[in-house]
Formats: sequence, structure tokens, C-alpha cells
Amino acid sequence: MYKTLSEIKQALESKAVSSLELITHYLGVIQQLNPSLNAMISVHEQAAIEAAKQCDQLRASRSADTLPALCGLPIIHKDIFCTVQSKTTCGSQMLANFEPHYDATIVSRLRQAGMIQLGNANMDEFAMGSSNETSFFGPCYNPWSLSHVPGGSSGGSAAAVSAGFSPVASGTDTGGSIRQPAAFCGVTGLKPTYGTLSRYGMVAFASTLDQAGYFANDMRDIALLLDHSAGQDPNDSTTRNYPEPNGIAAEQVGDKPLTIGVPAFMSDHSLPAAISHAFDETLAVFKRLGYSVQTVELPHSQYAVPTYYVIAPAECSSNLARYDGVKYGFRSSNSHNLESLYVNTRTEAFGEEVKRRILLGTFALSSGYYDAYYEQASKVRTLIKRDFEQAFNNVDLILTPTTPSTAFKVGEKTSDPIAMYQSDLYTLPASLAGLPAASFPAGFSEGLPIGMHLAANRCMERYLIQSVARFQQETDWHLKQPNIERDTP
Amino acid sequence: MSQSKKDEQKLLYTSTLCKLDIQQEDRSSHVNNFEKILSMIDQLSEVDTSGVESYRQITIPLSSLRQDDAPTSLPIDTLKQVSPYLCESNNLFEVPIVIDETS
Repeated sequence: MYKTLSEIKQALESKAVSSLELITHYLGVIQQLNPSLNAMISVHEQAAIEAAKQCDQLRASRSADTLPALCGLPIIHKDIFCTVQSKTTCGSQMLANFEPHYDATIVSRLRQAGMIQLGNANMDEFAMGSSNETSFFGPCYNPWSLSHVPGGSSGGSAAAVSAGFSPVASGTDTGGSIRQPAAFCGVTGLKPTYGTLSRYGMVAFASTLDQAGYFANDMRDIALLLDHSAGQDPNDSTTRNYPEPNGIAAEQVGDKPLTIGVPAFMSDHSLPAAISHAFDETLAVFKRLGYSVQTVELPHSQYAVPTYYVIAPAECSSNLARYDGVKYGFRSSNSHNLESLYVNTRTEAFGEEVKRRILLGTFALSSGYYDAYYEQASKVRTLIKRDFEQAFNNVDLILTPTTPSTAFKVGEKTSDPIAMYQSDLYTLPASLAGLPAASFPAGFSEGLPIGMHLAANRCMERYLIQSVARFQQETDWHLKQPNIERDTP
Repeated sequence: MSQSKKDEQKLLYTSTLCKLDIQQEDRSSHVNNFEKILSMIDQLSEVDTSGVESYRQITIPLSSLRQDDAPTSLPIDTLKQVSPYLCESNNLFEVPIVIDETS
């Protein structure tokens, strides 16, 4: 079947395939493989088939240039984006029956562009996790090995693209939740600059860090999705202008020779041999493509993990205070007064990791500890951002591996939150600085994918898109497909 | 009082602030994880941040703010579809008693 949106678009335009045939194919793959992977929380079979029929009718009655740009192309949305006429659970018992009355901005923009939503992808509860094991709907498994995690929190979206449920999927990234699962599942993932994609209708976790983004097999598909969903939104005052549709996808880096920075701390890190080798090979490919390489200092990035695990839980404790059982979502039936309604609702419906982060964030913001924890972390965040500003005076991109290991085994890190948090080591600095960053496949180790991570300066997505696209023209790591066992683990 | 007892009290106080009940059987694992995480976070104290301003929010351009218009509220029937706790008779959210004189 087709691997990219561009291939599908061409097939639809040449009438080699109809939207209905296409959507039926993807629904069939989901039906066949999802029992093994648990990548989907809900599948919108009827609605998708109806939408495909409408696209075919539209295509039959109108000329190609008057059709919506992405007419009939499939997508899976992470179950964190509000979608009308379907549940948006955020992977939590708290929202297990929540049916929003509006679409998130990125959902409505892509719908208007003609895309067909196949369903909602599994995720860590409220996007808190790095393995997709905290989902109320059960863990999702890695298509490359069912005994390994797909990463998180957007693990379902990454697994879905890797397994061929859809050529593209949406995700969200607060500290690495698109890039880490992209690396673990062998697909391409992009977190744009903070403010590029609207957060309206995206369930909030940590508002100064949360950013939507996309998964695909090929970076050019992500550029296409950005063209049709990015830009200012009156419902999210933190959004920014974005080039006109087709701007980024068509824009060329030009003749300027780009420079890749390699952080000095990389020489102190002891990485598995296969990841080190993949990193060296990736640099070699870029050098062949004409990129120059130099070392950059990012001295405060070593504090990214503790900084993140103060700021994100602090914001989460505030954002999740709204789930009290009064207006919507889960309500405990064992409450005898208002106070016990609050406590029982939250205690019964939140999972362990969410409780842990709410407790940590509440503690960091509490009287007597605020200055030592939240205030200090906010200042270190400024230093991390300044380091990047300094580095981008000399280089255009910064390369590291996406993760310090390949996908770990299911259950391996659930009892050790610190070990789990360390898997975000390379993705957190760009998140704290609000920078665009991407993960792309660059090798394998013992049958599991290895991802490499490029970060760029604010609003310089085009460097990422063009560089990864050029890398993917030179290599075939992104074309490898898993051979999925059809046994429930 | 032992450090671990102090940490448990700290945890229980925090749980009351954020309206969570930590069950007796879960306390030791929560305290253990809490201690480990705080010890990791304590690394931040070694960074010299004197004269550094806090990073509050990425700058929002004022031009992107929308007009302060009061839009029409959502129809009550729409809200009823989202919230099962709206009372049919008066359209108010129904909750258990607020002041419980027996407790």
C-alpha cells in the first residue's frame, strides 16, 4: 500500500484508487492488527466510510483544482484533541465518557482541508508518561516487538503510523512525547516551535510546554500537514503567523551551506554502541550532503530533566485542578459532601503517574518551597534558552540521538520513575526553550529502530524539514516496515 | 522524628492541598518515589542563578490578542450533552451538601 500522503494524493487524482477503497483498506489493517497493538482507543468506522463516499462524490463532480487540498486523505488523531461526535478520553478514566461539543483547531482545519479521521490513538494518561503504559485503556505495544513499549505519551499515534494504520497521525509533545515514540517506532515526528499549531481543543497538561505536532513516514508529509493546520488562531493567543499554505513545503533552504552543531556534552555520554554508530553515520550523511559540523556548548542542558520535572508538574497540578467531578468527566458515587466529592473523584479516576505529578507540582508551588523549586527551575529554564540562543549564533541545527536507548521492555521502568524520566534526556532541552525539533529513523539495534534528533532555532522549521527530507532521500531507514506478530502479548 | 516520617507528613499535607487521598498501603511507595524525585530536583540548587530572570512564558505578541467581545453563551442543551450533572429542573450543577455539620 501507499507509504506517503503524496503517493496517495497522486493515486486519488489519477483515479487509481477511490477514497472509499483507501479508507476501507486502512480500517481493515486497524481491525486486523489493533488487537495485538492496542494503538487505538476508538475507531470511527462508519463516519470514516461516509466521509470517504462524500469525497468520492465530490471528486466525481468537481475539477481537481477546486477540491479541498487533502480531500480523502486519512489521519488518526491522538485522543487528546477534542473531536465532535466522538469521545475524547485523554487516556484517562476521568474523561472516559467525555464527548466534546467542538473540534480542536487542528482537527477542524484538517477536516476542512478534506482529511478523514479514522479514529483516536492511545496515549499515556493526560500525556504523562514515556511508554504509553499509564493509559487507562491499557498499554500500547511497539510494532517492531510486542514485548517493548512504543514510547509515550503519543505512543498510539507512533505505533499506528509504524504499523500502517494510517500514513500520518497527530500527537502532542510537552517534553518529547512526539519525538521519543517516533524514535522507538521507527517513524518521523516533528514538534514545531511553540505557538505554531493552536492548542485550542487540546486537553492541557503543561501550558508553556504543550505543542501539537505530527507523525509520518516521510518528513514531506509533515510539511504538508503543517501547511494546512498551522498559523494564528483567535482561540489561542499564543499562536504565531506561519507562511502561506505550501510555503514551508515548497521553500528551499537555498544555497546557504548549513552547519550542524554537536553538543560538547555528547563526548561525556556513554551510549550503546549501535546508537553511537548511528549518530556517526548520520553526521557522515549530512557531511556528504554539504553540511559542516562544529561543537556547541549547551552547559545547562544537563539540568533539563530536573528543570522539566518541576515546571511540567507545577503546571499540571494547576491545569488538572479542574477535574473535580462537579461539571463534567468522572464523578465518584461514594461522596457524602462536596469535599469528599472532590477527593474521591480525583483519587478514584486519576492513575498513579498523574497523581505523582500533581503531588510533585503542588509541592513545588506550595508555601515555603516555591522559591527553592519553581522559581529556581524557571531561572534555569532561562539559562537553557540562552545557551541555545548563543549556539544558534554559530550553527543552524543541533544533532543528538533522540533517546539514550532503543525502546525498553514493557514493565521495565514502571516502578522507577527516575529511570523513566531519563529517557527524555535529549528531547527536554528543546521543549524548555520552545524550539522546533524532529526525530527521524537512522538505524536499528537488535531489530529495534534508532532515532536521531535535530533541533533548530525558533520558527526555523524549514531547516528541519529540508534537512530531514534530504537525509531521507539519501537513506532508506524511514522505508523499513515492521513484521507484526499477530499474537496478543 | 525520622526523615522518612517527615517526608510522609509532607506528602500527606501536599495531598490535602491537591485533593487526593493517599491510601495507607500506597504511602511508603509514594514517599520513596517522592524522595528520589526531590533528590534529583535538588541538583538545581547547584546552578548559580543570581541575576537571572525567571522564564515565565514565551512572549505573546499583543497583535495576536482577539477583541474582548462577549460571545453568545452555549445553549443549555449543548451543555447537557457534555455534562450529566446538570439538573433538569433548574439547569444548575447538582453536588452533594457543601457544609456537612456531621463531619
